[in-house]
Amino acid sequence: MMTEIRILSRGGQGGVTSAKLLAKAGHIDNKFVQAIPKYGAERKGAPIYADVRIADEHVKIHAPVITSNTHSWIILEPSLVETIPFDELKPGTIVIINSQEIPPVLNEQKNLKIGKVDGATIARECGLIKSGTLMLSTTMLGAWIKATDNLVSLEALKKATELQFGVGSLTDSNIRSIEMAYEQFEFVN
Amino acid sequence: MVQTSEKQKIELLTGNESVATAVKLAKPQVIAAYPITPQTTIVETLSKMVAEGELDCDYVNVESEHSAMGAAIGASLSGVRTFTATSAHGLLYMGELVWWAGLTRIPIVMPVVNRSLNPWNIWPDHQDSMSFRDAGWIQFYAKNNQEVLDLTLCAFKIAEHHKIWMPVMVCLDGFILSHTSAQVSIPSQKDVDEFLPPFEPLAILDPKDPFAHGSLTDSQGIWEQRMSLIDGFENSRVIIPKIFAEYAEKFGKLGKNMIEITGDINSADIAIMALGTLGEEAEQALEVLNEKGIKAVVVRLRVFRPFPRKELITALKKVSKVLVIDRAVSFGNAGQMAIEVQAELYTHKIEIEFHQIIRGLGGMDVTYMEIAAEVEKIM
Repeated sequence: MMTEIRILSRGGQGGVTSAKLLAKAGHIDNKFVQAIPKYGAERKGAPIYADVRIADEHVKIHAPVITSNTHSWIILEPSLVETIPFDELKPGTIVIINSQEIPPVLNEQKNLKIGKVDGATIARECGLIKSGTLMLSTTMLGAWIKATDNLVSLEALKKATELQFGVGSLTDSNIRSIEMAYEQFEFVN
Repeated sequence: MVQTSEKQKIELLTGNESVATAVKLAKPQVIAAYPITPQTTIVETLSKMVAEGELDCDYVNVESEHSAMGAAIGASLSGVRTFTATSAHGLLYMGELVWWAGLTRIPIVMPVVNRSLNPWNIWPDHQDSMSFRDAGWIQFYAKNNQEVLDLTLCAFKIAEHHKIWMPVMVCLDGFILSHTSAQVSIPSQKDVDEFLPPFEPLAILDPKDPFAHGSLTDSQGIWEQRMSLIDGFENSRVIIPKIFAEYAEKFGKLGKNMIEITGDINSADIAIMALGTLGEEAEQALEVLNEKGIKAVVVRLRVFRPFPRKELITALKKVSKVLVIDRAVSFGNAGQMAIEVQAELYTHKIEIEFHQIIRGLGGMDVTYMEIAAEVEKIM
């Protein structure tokens, strides 16, 4: 089985880091993984995406995920829901968003499993701010683990976070944000 | 499930980190390099290793790729294991010295992180390395991050074999491999040391016993040099599979062949040929085709120079159709691999249906579904 995930964010929010952390967590859980950042004219504030594959066997595919195959979408920046090609998504595809409210365009998608978490407030509370930008990677992954019924284990994500940021206060803050998002995430339909 | 063993640890690495990891294990004595996207993180990682004392090596900071290759040639001639890396425009800028290294047989290992040659496009295709397929360098194309590490380690042993003694380019698709993280099994230093002995120079430029390298040479001398280079490539046809086999025996990776065949060629109707990651993407397409009752097989050239004629012909004799997918173009003719496969088919009077397409230029995505659709069209 292979799970394909797309992460939408703006440069600086931690979308590419999310992909790497999720892959690392899958790796710790002994799954085969791939983290594919879409590079190019990426810069702070520009819309970007990154893909993750988590599989039971070696992944032979190298192209970015095919939209109709996606299992879940993680949206770090709510305004980017406008860019999701909803017509191509399979019924039951999970879309989780960092927002207090579900944007109208997402509310109309009755076939999808839609959930939200107030990632911005959690990240702020945990002090995850760099140069004025909220860093949302770990927060949204905590929500994703809840949404997918622990498709990757919470322990593996925490371990991956420690490997990424080293032992110290940054890791502690990120782990707190993972736990808070895991608690607070809810599906709305 | 990912299987770990005592002898090899498995880590999540980008393609560029796989190169750097292999290079660290190979212990070069000189690295001379200049950064260029998407190669930069190779030399960034290596320079950090040198700065932090993890790798005992002279790291030469140069002002351009032209100087990087110049320094690499000089270092190699002084009798040490030498490494550099580049991409696209960097390769073009060092071009004069890439030919120097090729024509005068300097055993340097250099990954080319494939990137388009368009004035401004940083995404992958094979136009850069293909432009140097005639430059007297051995060329490998890696299909995934594991093969990047494996081929880089083999590249040192192959370049430095006294019957080969030629530079080796390890080509990896920019971003698709260079910046994508995937699992790589890393051999132990002890095992690598057993596989790859220290550099043994054939001749050393020594101020105490001077001789000239690359000096003015008359046509007779050039003739002898070129014939010797042709012989070197003929030797490499025999020795590369032996070194791959030794690597496979020791590390359980790669195979003994210069081409990799995936699927059952004895029952296949069509062979798909593609280099690098397109080759592994095509392996995934086999499953889609199988569900539709189409028996296909992937014939992937892991080695493009020397062109593995014998293995290729043995494989293509068994199918009735071939589809060649090139990620570069020889403008005014066709895809480079297509041209060379056609030549072999004609030479050996193999009458099979021949199809060619060009895909993935400038980083255009090529999915396994598209590859499967292309095969379906011609069945």
